[in-house]
Amino acid sequence: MKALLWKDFRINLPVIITGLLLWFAAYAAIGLNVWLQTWPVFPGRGQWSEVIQIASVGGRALLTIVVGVLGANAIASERAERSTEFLFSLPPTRLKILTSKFLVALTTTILLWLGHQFMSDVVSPWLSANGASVNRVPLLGYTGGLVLIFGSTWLGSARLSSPAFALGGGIALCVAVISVLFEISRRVTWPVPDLVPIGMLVAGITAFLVGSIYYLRRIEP
Amino acid sequence: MSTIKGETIATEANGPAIELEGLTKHYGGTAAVENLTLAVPRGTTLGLIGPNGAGKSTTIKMLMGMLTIDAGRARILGLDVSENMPAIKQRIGYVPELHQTYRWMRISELIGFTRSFYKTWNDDVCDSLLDLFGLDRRKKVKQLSKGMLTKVSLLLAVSHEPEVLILDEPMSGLDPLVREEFLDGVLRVVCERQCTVLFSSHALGDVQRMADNVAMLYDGKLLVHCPVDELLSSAKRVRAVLRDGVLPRWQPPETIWQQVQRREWLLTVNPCSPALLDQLQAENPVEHVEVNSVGLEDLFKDYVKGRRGTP
Repeated sequence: MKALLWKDFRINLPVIITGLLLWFAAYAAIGLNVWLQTWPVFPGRGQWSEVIQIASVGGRALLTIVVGVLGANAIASERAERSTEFLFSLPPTRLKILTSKFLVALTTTILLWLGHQFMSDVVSPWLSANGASVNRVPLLGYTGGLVLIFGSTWLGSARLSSPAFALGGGIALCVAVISVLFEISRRVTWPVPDLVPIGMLVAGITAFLVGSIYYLRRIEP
Repeated sequence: MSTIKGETIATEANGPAIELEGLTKHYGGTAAVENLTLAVPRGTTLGLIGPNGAGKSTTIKMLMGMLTIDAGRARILGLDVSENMPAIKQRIGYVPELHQTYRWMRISELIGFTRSFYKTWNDDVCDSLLDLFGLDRRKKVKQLSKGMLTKVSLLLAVSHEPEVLILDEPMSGLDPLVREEFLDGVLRVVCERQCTVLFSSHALGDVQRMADNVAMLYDGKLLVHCPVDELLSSAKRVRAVLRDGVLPRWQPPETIWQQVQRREWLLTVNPCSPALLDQLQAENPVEHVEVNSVGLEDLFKDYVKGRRGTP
């Protein structure tokens, strides 16, 4: 399993590096912008606290793209590289191969996400004058979005041979699911709390499971 | 029972290394492999030959668990491939037709990656093959030529000392020198460890040189399966000169292929016996009969042409 994890980490390394760069870019861009506005005075602690809150929201928005690319890259990249036949000639089962791909994507997502949570929940309140945290991203809605984009692109990756098409297809599926969910929530007359985020969560998990089953049963190459 | 570093796997010790029983695979309505039954005894080499689309690669992919089996059964070392693939893969080596692997890895990384999955990996075998093939561990896979890639493929397939080696047209598109080096590597494995080898190839000279037995496929069906020496000694090319203006009246039922051009009647017969030749002369208006040996390549062509009904 260690070797599979190492291989999947290496395959996803460009995406992971991009994710890290985007992580830093979100804070750097907004911080630089605020500093330019107060130039030549360096912004105070309170201003930095606000910068971090805004940047963590932007960073989490960028993270959804990284998660989408991770999902799209997971299976289709090996098919595009034509290394699937070699991989399947080795002893690991398909379930192990798939688990390794999932674990690499999951770990990357969690670490990048925790980084943003740390910035908004620990660093920002510490810098703020009153220690309060503002501008929080709704946890359920954001998790639902991440799961939906990952599940959709994972399904595309299991089905297609090109990570780019898998990403495009996954995004299209996300848009369709979200549109349907908003339409349902607009039309229903009785109150359904958190219909859209829960719907996204369910749709994402379903897409992930369908993609996984498809991969396990698919004849490759 | 056999043991791999503490893990005991139930296998038949004396049965054939590879056993196919009524193996069948359809693509849509077309049968790629139909009711294929054959056995490869342990320690022997079977050459699987046939024209393109005969079902060789499909058979091998079913054996490797890469294709589902529609009907019949395939067993390797006594284990059913539909149920025991991870255990079987520990004990077999596979070299595909297209040697595509992780292009971004160095040879050393690829070896390390593959090594981690095998309990019986032997670094000495790996190192000796690296030397034999003149491979540089530091080179990236994407920098390797097709010949080098083929050698890496073989190295990865045999360094865990497999009991069965499966080669799916591994030498297609290789220059004669690389082919020779590749065959040397295979022969070394076969000689040193009495490995069972199943290999499909279009290079019939290599099959004749390496294989103990040959199986010829055509349209997914088995035409011939016998020892190579037996096939070459029993099959003959008969050249008969017919009398003016007459055609052959009786054709031996053992005829694989025949052609009549003016007075010359050529036919390939398997098996060819003195009695058959006597009958051929007695039943047909022939002036003269000549019997020649036939090589595996010509025999293969005659089988295919005979099946297709082409002269």
